[in-house]
Amino acid sequence: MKKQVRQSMIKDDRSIRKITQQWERERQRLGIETKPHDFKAATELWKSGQMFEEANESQPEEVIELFASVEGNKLVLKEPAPFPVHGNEIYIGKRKIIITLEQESVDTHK
Amino acid sequence: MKLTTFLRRFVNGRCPSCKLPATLELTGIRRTMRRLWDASIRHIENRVVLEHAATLVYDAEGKVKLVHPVAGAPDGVVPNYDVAEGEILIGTFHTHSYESGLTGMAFSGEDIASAINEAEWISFVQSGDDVFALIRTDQTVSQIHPHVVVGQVNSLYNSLLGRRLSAPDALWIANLQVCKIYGLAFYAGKIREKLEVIFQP
Repeated sequence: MKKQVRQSMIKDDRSIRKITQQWERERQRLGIETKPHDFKAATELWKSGQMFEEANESQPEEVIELFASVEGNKLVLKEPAPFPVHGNEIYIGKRKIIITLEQESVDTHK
Repeated sequence: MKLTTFLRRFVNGRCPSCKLPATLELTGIRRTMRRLWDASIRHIENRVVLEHAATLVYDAEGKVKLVHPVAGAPDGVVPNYDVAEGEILIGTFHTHSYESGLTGMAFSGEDIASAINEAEWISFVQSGDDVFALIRTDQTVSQIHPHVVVGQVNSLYNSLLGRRLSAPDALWIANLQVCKIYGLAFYAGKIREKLEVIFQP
């Protein structure tokens, strides 16, 4: 009887080989020499990348500014904007963000 | 630390992260690993390589050994996960041999997904003189969708090759990153030496 093989049993590295071959060809074409591997240096590189990643968690990669005015007792976003906006609503992908002014803010503005 | 001693630290197939040793000895399995590597590159002069694999078991006498050696294809192999009565399946060993002679290639995303989804305590891969190991810890996820981890490994690997890193270094970093994400410990070293812990979650 043929033994059943689950997909997860397969030790498969076709995709890595494909990427490796593509880069080997590209490097040959450009005459780039392949450096000998240095796992210690690679680990240090990875660790420094981790440090930057952690530092970047508190640093925004991009700043998006939206402008708005208060009309009546409602906030109205200025169009056009970097995201689709309508009145006090911002559409980001499948999400709609609604900004509502609290009554206190409206009174202060007046 | 000897593998047999190490295995006693496992609880339900996972080693508590705080109990991971600094080094791992390959005593008892080294000879089979070497033999399977040699078999993998037997016809490399003709640019023909075949990945080989074996199953790591803990036998009734308390010894760790590699059983069921199998030959696969140039780019993959299916270990035989069968265990005899009284044996405990610990994990697998397989080789990464390249027609070009490239060595030092650690785990692919598929290998990592397989190690997680097959609940392997330890997964070894050998590529030339380099041996790499993934250890299941109390931090390791129980299941993972293979496409996700393959995508993560391949994307990072490709991007690092684009930054002119060598293929082994790029795959090494991709392995470390994925081990961090999924809570696996990563060990590496030369076949003739002890493996050292490189990353512990």
